[in-house]
Amino acid sequence: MPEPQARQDELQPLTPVQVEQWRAYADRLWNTRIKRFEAIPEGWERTWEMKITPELVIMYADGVEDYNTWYEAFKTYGTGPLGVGESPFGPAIAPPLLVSENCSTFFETQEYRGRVHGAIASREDTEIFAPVPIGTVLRYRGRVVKKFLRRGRQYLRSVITAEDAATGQLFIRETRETLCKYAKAE
Amino acid sequence: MTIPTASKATPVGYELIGVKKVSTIQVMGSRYWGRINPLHWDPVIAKQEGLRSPIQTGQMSSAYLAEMLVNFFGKRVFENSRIQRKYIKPIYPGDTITTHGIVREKTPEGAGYRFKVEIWCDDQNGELKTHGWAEIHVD
Repeated sequence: MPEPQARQDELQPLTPVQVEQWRAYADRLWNTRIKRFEAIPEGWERTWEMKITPELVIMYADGVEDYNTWYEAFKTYGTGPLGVGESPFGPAIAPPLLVSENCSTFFETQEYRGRVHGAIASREDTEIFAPVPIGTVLRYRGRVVKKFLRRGRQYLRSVITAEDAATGQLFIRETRETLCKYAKAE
Repeated sequence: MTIPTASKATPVGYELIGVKKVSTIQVMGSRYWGRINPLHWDPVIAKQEGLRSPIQTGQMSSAYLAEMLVNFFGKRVFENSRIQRKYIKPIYPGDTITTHGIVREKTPEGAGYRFKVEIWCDDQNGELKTHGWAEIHVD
């Protein structure tokens, strides 16, 4: 007997209108996605820049309920708009693995934008060389170094570095493996 | 309560104080964390793909582990450190995740030591979810 299909509202209460909106959003994302294992060749490279803004840091920290004040350069209340914050290094800094998380934007090129998803992180090995002050513009350089099958599943291995776009100071180097599709390859 | 912090005298075998978090579907699907990937928040697509329900991004458990490390090692985590993680089992909505860390090695390095710490997190049933190692210099 086939398993009953999951209900959109089984994990949180939703009205019928919300269910319809969510289904449309999820199905559009899923049905237009690019299958990265097939689409992206070994040796594929990309360099891109991204600013570590106070808002980005707060979105990261709030989601994992990490309220270390070293990461606070965003004042929700009070008189000031945005401050530089404080940490043992002077101004507020990004949480240690925020830049690692942002490495997942590697495939967000204009060509693939918003369509390379459906993968699952498998392993990450992050070397952290220096703290990243909030406000820094990072230059990421990524390369797909290997595509492989492990126990019947498709993986990509990438190496990504992040440096200060203005000075070239290296902040992190990461090797990451991504499971491209949960189901085993046919 | 005073939260203990690392020093050169911290012995091998020392157990770090963990952090505890509950995985919620709303945060799993939030704009920063999982929104771009329906496997992290959509029960219908997750099930179609063979998962029993949406799964949290692995990086969220990495953040939990990093929080534990910063609580103990402080600013040292941000300079010349290394954090390796392997995502063993999916984390589902409603799981209560606890992080753990044990100092396994101390190697002399400069005026101090390079600590090697085994790190992992498990759920309310003790199932291992994420496992890894951290290397941090203490002087």
